[in-house]
Amino acid sequence: MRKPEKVRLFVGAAVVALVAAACGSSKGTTAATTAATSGTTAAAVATTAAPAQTTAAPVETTAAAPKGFTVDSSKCPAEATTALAAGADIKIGITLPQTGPLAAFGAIAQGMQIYFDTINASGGIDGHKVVVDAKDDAYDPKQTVPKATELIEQDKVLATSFMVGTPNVGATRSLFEASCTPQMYVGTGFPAWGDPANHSWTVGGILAYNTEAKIWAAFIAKQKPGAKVAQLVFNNDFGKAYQKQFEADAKTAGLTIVETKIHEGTAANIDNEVTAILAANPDYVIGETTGAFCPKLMAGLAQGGYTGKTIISATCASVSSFFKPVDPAGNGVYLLGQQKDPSDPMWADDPAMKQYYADVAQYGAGADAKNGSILTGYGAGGLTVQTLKDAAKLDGGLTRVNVMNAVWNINYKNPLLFGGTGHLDGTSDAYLSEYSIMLQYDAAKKSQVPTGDTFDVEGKTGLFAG
Amino acid sequence: MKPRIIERASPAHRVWQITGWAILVVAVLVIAKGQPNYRLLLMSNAAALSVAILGLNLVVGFSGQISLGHSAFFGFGGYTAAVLIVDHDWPFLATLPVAALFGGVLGFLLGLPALRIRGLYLALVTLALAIVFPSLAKIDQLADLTGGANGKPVPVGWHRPSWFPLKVTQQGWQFLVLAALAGLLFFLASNMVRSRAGRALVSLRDNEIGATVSGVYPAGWKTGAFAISAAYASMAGAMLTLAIPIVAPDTGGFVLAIQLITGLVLGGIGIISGSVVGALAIVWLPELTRSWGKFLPLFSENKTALLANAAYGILLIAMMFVMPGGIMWFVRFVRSKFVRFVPRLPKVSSLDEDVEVGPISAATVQQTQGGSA
Repeated sequence: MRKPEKVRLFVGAAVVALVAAACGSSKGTTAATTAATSGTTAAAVATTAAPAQTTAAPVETTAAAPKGFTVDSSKCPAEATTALAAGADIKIGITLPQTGPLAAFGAIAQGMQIYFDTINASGGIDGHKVVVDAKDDAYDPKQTVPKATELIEQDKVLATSFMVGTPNVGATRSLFEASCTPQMYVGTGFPAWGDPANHSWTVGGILAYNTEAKIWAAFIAKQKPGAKVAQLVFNNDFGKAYQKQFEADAKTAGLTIVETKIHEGTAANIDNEVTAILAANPDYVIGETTGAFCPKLMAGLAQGGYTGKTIISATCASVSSFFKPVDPAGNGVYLLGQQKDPSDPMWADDPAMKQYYADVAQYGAGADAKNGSILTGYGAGGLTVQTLKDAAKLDGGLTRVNVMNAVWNINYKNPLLFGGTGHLDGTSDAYLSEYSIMLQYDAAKKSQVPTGDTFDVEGKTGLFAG
Repeated sequence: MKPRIIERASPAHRVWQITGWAILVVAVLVIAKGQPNYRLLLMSNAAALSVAILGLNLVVGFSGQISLGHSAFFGFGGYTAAVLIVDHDWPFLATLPVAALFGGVLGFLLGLPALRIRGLYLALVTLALAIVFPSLAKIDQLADLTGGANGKPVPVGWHRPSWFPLKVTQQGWQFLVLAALAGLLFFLASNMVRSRAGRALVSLRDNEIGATVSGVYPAGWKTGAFAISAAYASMAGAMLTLAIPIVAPDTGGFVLAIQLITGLVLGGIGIISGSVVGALAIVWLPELTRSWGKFLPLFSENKTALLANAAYGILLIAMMFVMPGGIMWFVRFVRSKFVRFVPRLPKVSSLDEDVEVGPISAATVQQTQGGSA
């Protein structure tokens, strides 16, 4: 049996690459790991929570039949309407990449468990402890399908929360529908996750990518009507969603797009793209990209002597990961903010942020509180807990159907967000997270300072159409 | 202990073969009936990947050309099936021959450069294919066809027919179908490599000049091998749509290219059955390292399984040291201590009396030969 030596050489290299990938991801939300392939949002993810600070909007407080939108449970298996046994753990499933190029998102599950632990320490929800059941799918839909099946059929989770990845959610949506298991607050901003009429078991948990792009167009048109804009687009689900929406809105807002450059996740650098963008002499450059490409864009523009304005994706919000490494190139760069950045000194005295730091220190087992993914998971945990509390108050108690009914009528405020109310109404408002503010990076203070522009499209984006 | 010698195609060998297949069939049925659905989905993944690895094996193991681009054929087959099923309402099985044909033509065209370049250079050219494929799947002009960067959902929904006696779940049925298809494709491939075609490829791999002098036309056989190999990988991609209801750009991405090569080397290059073992290994080993992780102090269930990949990598390195020819090579090595299969030699009409003939020398012949199933 003769074996081509070169093939073995390749496998050796592949093994080294695997090990390197595993080690590389240990830094958490590092630029390098996020950059490698397609992205969902990690840093600036908006979810709502905080039972203590629920908003003025009324929430049912006594046991009641679900009001407003309810899911159709006529085809559900009996167990979907069977209440959780007394004292049993509430299992909340999540699939996300804990290995592979996007392993940085894996910390979301950790953050969620930290929040659940704070609830469990005070007795849980109606005597039930809440636990996270996380499955690693390496961002590969081929692995997500078995993992989601395992969550539904073997582990019998009450619901899943914050599953990561657009193709991954797309591959599993029908499984959740068939078994009547809530696939709530998925961690992708794809607009199709807001379609209660046709797919009532799946709902998005972060600012839809197209909403962000709409706000950019409005912001630019207000600052400088008729401005010339160039965009750098990540060639994946989220970059393309930005591009499509921005191009549509730029047209109606009277902006001119002078250059559009698309880059791959595997690109080693974006020098050519930046050069082309500079050559087009735009007033605004928009970074519809994520991960290491954000600092590369900012550094490239600064080196090229660019004097116009720059807006980057909210996914690049982390000061420590994306701005500090290229200081002061990011000075003056705009981005939309939803979630307070745990690594920004501005929030050191914020009570909610202090509470978060304390909880991570107590329950995090060494987790890095500065990691935006931990904060994202923590926020998702708060939202999940509030949903469960609502569901427990409905007739029939903690059933899968009741959890989904609670999701479609949720109304909460997360103190770790800049503001706004996370609200869903299955009949008219299928997007949870619609409040954001414009931030501008100040390199001297190493901080992202609110410009005073706030954008609240809560309730105005309606349902998914088409 | 002296190993038992069994001639190929002898009755004793047939008994071995039939027993082996029977055990395999029973195992597949038992798994389909008894295992939970999530494991069956992983088994379906393995069944589809085994066919892709087999395709790669034909090119790497038998014709000696290196391809890092088979993930692209896999993705291409998946998209072909998805378009036919979703946009043209084709039944699942009917898409397979089309995927094979398209993949084969593509493989033939891409096999042409393989005539001029070889070794690492060919690896680089095919690597480009693996990297380009996801970008092609994402371009806007094809978005209506491919679903763009979000992927294209493929609801196949083929349920167990009522005549089928074994009561299995939907996932069990999917696994049975994919296992049966894989079995058929393995049977065809193993016959092919034992035929004139296989001998021609192995001779080209081992000594191209010698083979050419003996009348083997390199260009024809090499491009032919590339085409058949691509057709296999393409069919594998189409097969996977039965179990995984979406095709996405990274379905045919670079990570898969590396996985396929890893599976090939783990299973055993140039060993047909090694492709099954390799596919099982690349699907299940990462699962195992992840689940072992829970029992180690460094991991906890919901923490980033930082070291799971490293553990997987270390396991791969260790296996390459212990079993340099792959798992099936190792199995054969162990088996050869007990029983050996040797080719039947033609009847010798005249010979020197000193020369020993029969099974012993046949064993020597077998050891110097190239691979076979």
